Amino acid sequence: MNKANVNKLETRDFISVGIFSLIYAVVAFVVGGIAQMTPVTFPFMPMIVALFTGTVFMLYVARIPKKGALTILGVIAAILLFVTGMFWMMSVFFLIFGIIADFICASGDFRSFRKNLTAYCVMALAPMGAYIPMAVMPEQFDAFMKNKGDFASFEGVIHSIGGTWWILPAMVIGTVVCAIIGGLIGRKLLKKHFEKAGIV
Amino acid sequence: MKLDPRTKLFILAITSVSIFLNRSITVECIFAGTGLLLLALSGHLKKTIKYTVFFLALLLIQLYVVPLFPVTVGGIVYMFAVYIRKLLPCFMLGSFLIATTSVSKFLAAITKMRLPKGLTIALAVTLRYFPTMGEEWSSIRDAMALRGISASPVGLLMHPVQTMEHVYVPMLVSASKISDEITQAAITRGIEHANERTCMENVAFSVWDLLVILLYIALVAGMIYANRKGVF
Amino acid sequence: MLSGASGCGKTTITRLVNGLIPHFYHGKLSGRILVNGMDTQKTEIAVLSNTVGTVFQNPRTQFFNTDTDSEIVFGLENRGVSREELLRRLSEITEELDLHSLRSRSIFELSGGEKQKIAFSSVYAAEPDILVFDEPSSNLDMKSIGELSQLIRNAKNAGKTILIAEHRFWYLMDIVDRVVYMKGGEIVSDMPISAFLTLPESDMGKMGLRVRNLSLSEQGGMRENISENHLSVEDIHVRLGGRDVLKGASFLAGGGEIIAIAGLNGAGKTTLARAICGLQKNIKGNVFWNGHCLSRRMRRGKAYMVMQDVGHQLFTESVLSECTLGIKNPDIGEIEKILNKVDLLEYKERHPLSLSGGQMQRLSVAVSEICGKELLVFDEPTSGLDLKSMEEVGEIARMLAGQDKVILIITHDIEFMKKICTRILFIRDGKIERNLEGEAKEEIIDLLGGKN
Repeated sequence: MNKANVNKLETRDFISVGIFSLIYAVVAFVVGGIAQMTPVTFPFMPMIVALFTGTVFMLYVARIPKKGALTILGVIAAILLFVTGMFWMMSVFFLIFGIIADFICASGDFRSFRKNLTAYCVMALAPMGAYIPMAVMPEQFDAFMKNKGDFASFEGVIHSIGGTWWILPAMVIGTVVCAIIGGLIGRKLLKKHFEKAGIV
Repeated sequence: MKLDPRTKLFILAITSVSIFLNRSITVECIFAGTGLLLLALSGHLKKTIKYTVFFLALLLIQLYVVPLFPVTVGGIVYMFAVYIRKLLPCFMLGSFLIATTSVSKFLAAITKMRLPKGLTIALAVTLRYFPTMGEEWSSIRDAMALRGISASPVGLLMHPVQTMEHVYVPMLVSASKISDEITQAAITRGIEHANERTCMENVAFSVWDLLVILLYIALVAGMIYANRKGVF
Repeated sequence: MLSGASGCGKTTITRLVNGLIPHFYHGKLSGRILVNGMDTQKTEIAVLSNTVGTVFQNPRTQFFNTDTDSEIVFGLENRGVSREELLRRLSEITEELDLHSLRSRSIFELSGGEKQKIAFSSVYAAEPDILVFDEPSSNLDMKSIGELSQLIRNAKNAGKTILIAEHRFWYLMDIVDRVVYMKGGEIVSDMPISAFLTLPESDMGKMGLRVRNLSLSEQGGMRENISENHLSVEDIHVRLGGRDVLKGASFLAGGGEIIAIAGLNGAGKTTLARAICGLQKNIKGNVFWNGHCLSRRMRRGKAYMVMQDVGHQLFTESVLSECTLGIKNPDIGEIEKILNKVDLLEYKERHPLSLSGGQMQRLSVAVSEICGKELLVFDEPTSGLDLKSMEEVGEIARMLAGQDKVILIITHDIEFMKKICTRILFIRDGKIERNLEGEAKEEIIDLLGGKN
């Protein structure tokens, strides 16, 4: 429909951005919220979310292939997470990764699936911000236990659950893999449905 | 006591940054207490009670249950209980912000922060679409039920991709159509005027805002002091 | 008033006037459109919006804010009008349009009619010289249509130029001055209202136009054969959000009947339909099918609802796969026969969501048949439809009734009730209050509070 003003965001784009950013954030929020409810699934939250938001992301890029759109997605997700009281580093991650994803997609003119998928892998890492506190908490645990007169250290805890330095890269790799799967599902649904239904 | 939405955002920001840097349980209790007080003063007693109980339960788990466990289990329970508890003061202020701020007030405050106009439009639409998304979801869930397709977590686990497809297809197609219709209604009412928008809602700082902001600055100072001295 | 069958170009004309063409819809445009001396192709749509205000068809999707006050002054805010002026205009318009009960409310809790009134107020508050309406009554009940016509009359008396594209004429007959009749993208005639009113009823049918006067609309829908299938709904109570929505609704229905469920907004029509279909939780009361009490789960298996937003109930990538969704060992031959019956066989490879509204509706009906549903509920199937499409919906309903199914139709469309439905159940305050049949169907006009 729209041929004029190919590169600049117009009112209709901002309105699309508003709606689809909400859908993206709500999906991430609901799926992420469910995943975080049990200690077992807790570390897998970003991966599970990455599987589900891929379709929304791919439709988003296909519908609003303009510079700035993904940045606003990041900003809106950050605001929504922030005002609901989620850990603020997640918001910061969404802001930064949104801008990076925007650049990556723009470098492929929003039409290169490989670039878009890469951008999505970056975006999908944003929920990792939720784990930053884990970096400071062991120290606090040690302090707490010392206070109680127990000198066991968190080092021991981490050792005994079999995790060491590789936990973080493992989570990143896991999330990227899930993001690739989520993105591929997104592309499939885009071809199978959204293009045929005439909304992109 | 009516606070400016910008104040609410500010105290939320202060709380969420401070709470993870803070090491003292006493300071954490004061942060939580302030949040609870604001919620209670705004008349949301049910929420206040809910959060109080939840906070105290998690605190008691840390203080009395964790030391009973061997260090491994204790460590995991500690992580989980403390992580969630530390988010609680933010949740309190978040629900205080949401419960006491109308969308138009919030947008008026955002407008005053002089963000780019496009971002303000997008954000306004996000907030406006939120209830619509709920309506759409319940209608799609009804439609799925009549076809014998389950939208429940069980269905999701059994056929994740299919369930995702059945929810996403109607929801995203409908969202695209609604997006076009909102756009038409908005541009025929002059949203593309180049001049600055005015706003009927008025937001302005009052004495209360000053008091609350000073209180929170004092809390941060207290936290820094407590961290230095190692207050429990 | 712009009249004509669907697709005749009415809506396109409204878009040319308000500038959505070419500023929102891009395409090939030749010729010139002057609005108050402004060339719409060279004038920015924001500038045009100072002169032209538009009320659209769907009340749900034309508001931008979440509360009524902000929505009313939205257009003025966009122009950068000062805050004092905004407040002054808001209270002025509250008086002028009697909006007291709608002020400072969440738009999401309003009925369709109230939303449309806010949409009108928002446009009107900006004081445009020209008002454009694109099928404004499509989603409204009779009482709201009455209020809408009052609003339009006020605007006319205030000296505004008004352009209305509509299928339903009856509420406009004493307001409009000129009727433009369009067909296939051309203006066929442009007549004064006096000439339009004297057109014989038979010409109206030929032109594909709906009735001008509801009480003159032809009576049809006589009950023919009642089969042994019967539905008995007994004493349904539903409480939602602290309010008793249904307070003991009971009725009987037989296979072969086409039953309209009519009532004002908030009377409980939709809740009743959801209860019967097994979608509503926590209901008191029973639903019997041929004497057997149906559990909520069994009702979901027996009943099907063709929704107003019919796109919400289509999930797959082609018409054919939509028909086989959830069916074990589908019989393709049988499915193609059913698709043929609803004129969709040639579209079997198309994506369901790329079909027209009427086609999606028929696909939904086909799906219900393949799933072996025996009780069909239609939610507002004729909103925004022209005469031909309305009659097509009627045909489908008759076809289904001919197969001994029980057909319930929630509707505001009086012409449709009179022509097609065999019976009207009037619901008020959570109860089935009247059961109108034959000549008595006429009473529905008074019951719904319309004047004609």
